[in-house]
Order: sequence, then structure tokens, then C-alpha cells
Amino acid sequence: MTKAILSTRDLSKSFGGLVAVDSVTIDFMESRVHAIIGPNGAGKTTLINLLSGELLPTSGKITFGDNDLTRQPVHAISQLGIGRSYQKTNIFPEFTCLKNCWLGAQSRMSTSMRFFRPAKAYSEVRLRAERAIDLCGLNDRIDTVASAMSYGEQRQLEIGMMLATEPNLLLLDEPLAGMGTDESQQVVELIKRLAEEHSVVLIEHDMDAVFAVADALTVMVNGKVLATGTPEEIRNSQEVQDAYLGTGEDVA
Amino acid sequence: MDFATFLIQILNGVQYGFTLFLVASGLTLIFGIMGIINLAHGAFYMIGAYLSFWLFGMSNSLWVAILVGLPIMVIFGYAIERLAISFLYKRDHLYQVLLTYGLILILNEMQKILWGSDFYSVPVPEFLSASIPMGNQEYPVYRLFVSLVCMIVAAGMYVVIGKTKLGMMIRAGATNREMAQALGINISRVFAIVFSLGAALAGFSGMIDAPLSSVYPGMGDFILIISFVVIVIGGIGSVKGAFVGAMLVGLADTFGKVLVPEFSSMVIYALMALVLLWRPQGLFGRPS
Amino acid sequence: MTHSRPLLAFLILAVGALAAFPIIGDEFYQELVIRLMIMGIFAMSLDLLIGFTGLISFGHAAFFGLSGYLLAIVTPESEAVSIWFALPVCLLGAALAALVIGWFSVRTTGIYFIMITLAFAQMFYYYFNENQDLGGSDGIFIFYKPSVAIGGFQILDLNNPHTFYYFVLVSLVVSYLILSIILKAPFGQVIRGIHANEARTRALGFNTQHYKLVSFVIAGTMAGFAGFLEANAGGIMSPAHLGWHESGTVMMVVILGGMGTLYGPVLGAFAMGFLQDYFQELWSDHWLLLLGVFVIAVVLFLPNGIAGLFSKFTNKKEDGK
Repeated sequence: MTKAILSTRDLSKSFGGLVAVDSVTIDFMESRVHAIIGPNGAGKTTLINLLSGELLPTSGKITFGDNDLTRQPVHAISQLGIGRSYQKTNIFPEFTCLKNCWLGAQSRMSTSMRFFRPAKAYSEVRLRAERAIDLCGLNDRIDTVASAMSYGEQRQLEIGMMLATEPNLLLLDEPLAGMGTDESQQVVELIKRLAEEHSVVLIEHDMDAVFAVADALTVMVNGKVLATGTPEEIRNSQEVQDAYLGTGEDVA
Repeated sequence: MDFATFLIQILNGVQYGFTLFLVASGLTLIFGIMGIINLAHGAFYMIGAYLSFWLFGMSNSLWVAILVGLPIMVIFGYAIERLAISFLYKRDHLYQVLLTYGLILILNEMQKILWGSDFYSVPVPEFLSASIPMGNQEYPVYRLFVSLVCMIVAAGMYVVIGKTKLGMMIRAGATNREMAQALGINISRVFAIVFSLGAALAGFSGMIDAPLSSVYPGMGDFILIISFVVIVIGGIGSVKGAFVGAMLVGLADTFGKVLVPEFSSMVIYALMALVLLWRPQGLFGRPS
Repeated sequence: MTHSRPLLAFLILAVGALAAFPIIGDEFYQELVIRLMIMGIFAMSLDLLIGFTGLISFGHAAFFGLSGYLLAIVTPESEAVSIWFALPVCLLGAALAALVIGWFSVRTTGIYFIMITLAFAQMFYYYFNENQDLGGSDGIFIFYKPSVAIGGFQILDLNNPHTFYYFVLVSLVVSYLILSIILKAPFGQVIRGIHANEARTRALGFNTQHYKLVSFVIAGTMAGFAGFLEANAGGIMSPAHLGWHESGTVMMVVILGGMGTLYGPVLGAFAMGFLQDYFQELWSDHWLLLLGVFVIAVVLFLPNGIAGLFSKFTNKKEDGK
């Protein structure tokens, strides 16, 4: 029996009158891939933004192990070992692949308020950055400027930057967004590999991919949790079928 | 401080606040809607003041000066928007700062070429030149008149922005530029209108202010920086914020001069720092 | 930043030319070059903010002027003050002012940041402008350059024009090296990240506010150092030294030279210096009008500055990032 690594309790976020996330209570288990699915506008990305600290919740609580994350700033959450990737590619376009991962790797030093020794001389940072690049499969692009890489490679780099911070828990926001079939397959393989050593929270629209990698699923509709369970349970749930799987283009 | 002095300071502060509001509201709209930081906005105030001096010299009437001067300000604002500002919409703030700084240098020198470096004054119109006795002091009617006119202009802005089609387009442009364009709003025309009206407001402020303060080189620089303080306090893009900020700054500055004369020039900056401590986005600004 | 070979050669040549200048140039131009080198230091310090951290400070003159005023305040009317006392006072004063202004400013972004830095700098301006004890709008004289002595033994005589010239030149080179080292170090990587994408840098685990504040303080302190030299060179400090036209000028120098390059702003200082000279000759009464037109032309046609042209011709893009 694994324990919960990240938990939300009655977590809500409203923008003016719109309730984007509505009393969500989920336990994300350690060493599992937990996918969150739901139609557009269900509040999935808002939920991730709450978990990573980019948004402050209107009410409710988030705990990560023994830490209360609810009011923690983004950088502190990262330092606790939660990494995230973005739905919309969010990299340093004018930096090389290595430099993109370098910053993440450097953030695991006790401090970067170091002014004298060249950054290059910190070999442990370089190792971490190179390991991340290796993991996300961009070895042959290590010195390429990010803006010159293909869209799929930029998506891989997006994940690589997160890995360079050596997180325990990964928050992946639609890692397959906009990718072709082959590229998608590569990233699915990458997620499977990552799942061996990390806990993962995954938002994804591609149902084939979700069912291929997820250990647990939560279905969100209109900001609320409709159901949480194993892929099997979700697939067979009449409620989910009615509300979501049977209605739209996202059929499994 | 006796009651009459107190009342006079209040009236002065409010009147100064109104003047600032006319300049700052245009600035804040240009920030909020067009995303442009326009350092040359203070120069519009200065140009308004010089226009009223110049046109008064020819017509011997402040009213004629204002009636002729206002359309000149609108046309001038429009020309500046088309010839310079329109190149900046997609550029970084840094370049906006520099280009409009260049404009200030040009406009300040043009002023010196046309009118020289002397201080000028514009007389208060005859029928407003009286003073109202207050305790053992007097308060000039013209100051009250300026406050009244500004109040009418502010109310007019409120109606235009809140109730008219132009106002709707302005608000749409401020909220979401792409969406406004998708809805068929000609955004570049809205920009030109907002900028011209902003220039006219600042110019108008300079015109009716001319009889109160003298007309002098560099008067635009001074008002620009105070207007920045107003906007920082009120929150960028918020006309309501500009109004509250202008009143706060007007009153703080006026009372500062009486209560702590040796630090009077610092008072409004201290006020700004206090507001920033409490609300970094300004009183009515949206948090970033 | 990694220097490409032609650039390195150019920089060494330039420093060599500056070092040789007093031997051939006359005294008037020597004075001018001193002022331009000081402007170069000032502009480099602003480049750390604008070009590397992405902070558009429009109040940088506050630190420059404040430091100069501090020198004027600690210098007695009838004798020189020791540099070991005066320089730390000036630098600490500038650093402290930068810490306070920066603390308020770095919490904001974009247009706010520009306006707040400008407003706080004007606060200093009005303070000195109205303070009659410090000469009000006329400014205040510094009658003696600080003495550089150890145990009563004079090491440098800053009153000697040649000595002072080399003192400033060494200051320029050392300032450049200090900034280069900082930019190569882990701290420099973080501020470049902030410039490129602050939100992402924060998400990678950096408290970006702290880094921005430290960058602001470093830049303010170095501007203070330039102000210290300026007060020495000119022998007078006036409110204009911390007014917004000074801040606008130094920003213009950074852009003209090419931001984000460090050496660019120094080139910009020299280009601007000679240009002002030329404009003043062309139209002495209203040369600022010509300058205004020139500023607009640079924004529209030369946004990457002289250094941008330089790298276009040598066709070597900086790979420092």
C-alpha cells in the first residue's frame, strides 16, 4: 500500500464569479501516474496551476508529504521537489538546449548568489543538466539554440528543464499537445520511463496515451471531480460514460 | 491651523488634484488601452499652456484661446500618434521610453524656439477675477471655477467611457485587444482617438491652469512625473484610480507644504511608497 | 559572456589606444575622454539592469548623483579627505539607496517599474534641489580630490591630470572585468534567465525577486562609483546629475552602444560624447532638438546599437547565452 505524496482538500479557485476549480479533493499516490482528464474548461490546468503555486487557491488546502503548500510561492514549491511542464511551450528560446536545462540544474545548489567562480566550473550542475538532456532524448541537440529546434523537440526540452531540477513529483500539463503520432509515442515512452522513479500527475487529452500510462484516473467536469479510480473503473463507470466519454471527440 | 486656512488648503488641494486628474487620466488610458508609456504626455500640458498664452495674446480672450487651442491639441495629438507612437505598439517598453523621451527633447526645444525661455503669465478672465472672503483670507473665484470645469470634464469622461459606443470600444480594447479586433473594432482607430483625446485633455489642463501658474519651460516635465506618481498610486489603466490618486496627491502636496515645509517635495513620494507597500499594483490596479 | 576573437582583439586595442592617448592628445581632449570613460562605467552599470536582468530602470542617475553629493559632503572645505573613508561612504550610500528603492521597485514589473524608479529618483532630485545647505539648484563644489595615502605616504596624486586619467581608465577596465565575472558566475546565469523568461525561472526554483534586487544593488553601487569619479573629475555636483535627463541620457547611451554587451555601452558613451559635441557645434542654441531627432532615429533604425552592427559585420553572434 503506497501513501499519498500530494493531497488536496476541498480545493477551490474562482475568478470573479466563475468557479474554475470547485472543492476538489484528490490523493495522488507515491510512485504512481495519476491522470486528470476532462473536457476543455473542466479546470484541469487551473488545478495544476494551484498545485505548482502559480495561482493561489480561493479556499481549501494542499499538502505535500508533511508540507502545507497552500500559500507557498512557486519557487519554494519547486525547491520542495515538485517540477512542472507547461501546456504552452515555456522555455528560454534564445538559450541553447544545455543552457535551458542548466538553470534548473543550478537551482538545486544551496544558492545561486555566487558571483566569482564561473558557472561552467560547477561540474555537478553540468552533470545534472546533461542527465536531464539525456533523459528527455535531446543528446544530439545539446548545443542547439532552442528556438531553432522543432516543435516536438521543444516539447521534449520542456520536460528536460523540469527534470534538471531533479523533482520527486512531476506535474505534466498536456505533454503531448500538438504532437504528431511518432513524437507522441516517444513522449509516452519517456513518461513510462519517468514513472519508474517519479510520481506523476498528468493532464492529457490523448486517451490512448492516458490509458497506456496511468495507474489512476480522475475525471473532472465543470471544475468538480466526477470520479476517481483505476483506468478499469473509469472505463466502466456509467456516470463517466454519460457525462464525458460518450459525448465528445475525446472518446477512448 | 484655523478653519479658514484649512478650508482654503482643502480647496487648493482639490483643485490641484483635478488638474492632475486631467493629465493623469489620459496617461493611464494610453497605458491601459494602448500599452504605451508616453513620456511626452507632460509636454502636451506644456503646449496647452503656451497655446493659451499665445492665443490669448492674439485674441485677448481666454475663451477664444481655449476654443481655438483645443482642436489644435487634438490634431497635434493625432499627428504624434500617427507619425511616432504607431511605430511602437509592438515594441518593448524600453523603446517606448526612449522614443517618447526623444519627443520630449524635440518638443521642449520647439517651445524654446517659438516662445523663448522667459516666464509668461495669462491673466484671469475679468468676471472670474473676484475673490471670496474666507475668515481673514480670500479665495480666488477662478480656482473654484477651474475645479468646477474639471468636475464637469471628469463627469463627461465617466459618461463617455461608461455609456457610449466609443466608450464600449475603449473598454473592449483595454480588456482584450485581440478579442476586440475579432469583434470588428478598428483598434488602430480607437488608439488614434484615445491618444488624441488624451493629448487634448492634458492640453486643456494646461490651458485653464495657465492663469494660475505661470507659463514656463519645463513645466511639462514636472507635471509628467507627478502624474506618474498619481498613476502608480491609483493603478495603471484605471480612470477611477487616476481620480483617487490625483486627489490624494493634490491634497498631500498642498498640506505637505503647510505642515512640513522642509520636506514638502518628498511627501507625495512617501505617499507613493506607502501605497506600494500595501498594494504593489496600486489602489485600483489589477494584480499582475 | 564568451568573447569572440575579433571582439577580444578590438577590446585590447581600444584599451591600448586609451592608455596611449595622454601621450598624444592635448589636455582638453584628455579631460573629455575622462568624462566619457566615467559615462562608460555608468552606462555599463545600467546595462546590467536593462540588458542582462531586463529591468528598465529610469532612475539610475539617483545613485550616480547621490554618491557624488556624498563625496561633496564628506570633503572638508580646506583639505582633502582620505579616499579610504570617502569611497566606502559613497559606495555604501549608493548601495543603501539602491537597496531601498529596489526593494519597492522589484516587486513590480513593466511600466510600473519604469515609473517607480523614475519617481524615486526625482524624489532625490527635489531633495537636493531644495536643500540650500547643499547649494540648492546651483550645486556644491568639491574643492579637493581625495588623497590616496597609506600611513602618511602618498601613493597616487589624483590632482595630477595624468594620474587621474589612468586612475579612471583602470576603474573602467576593472568595472568591466567585475561585471564580466559576475555575469559568468551562477548569479549571472540566473539574471539572464530572468531576462529571457522570468516566470519560468521562478518555476525552476529561483526566488527571482531576490536576484533582481541584488542585481539592482550591484548596478546602483557601480553607478555610485561612477558618480564618485564624476564628482572628482568635475569638481561640482548639481541636482542635474540626478535628474531624469541624466537617467534618460545614460539609457540612451546604453541603447546606442548596444545593450546586453557591456562593451557596447562604453562605445555608446564615446559615440554620444562626440555626437553631442558635434550637435553643439552645429546648432549651439537648440542642439537638444537634433539630439531628440537622433534618439528617435536610433530607436527606429538601430535598436541593437553599435554593438549590434559590429556583430552583424563580423557575423559572429554572441554565444554567451
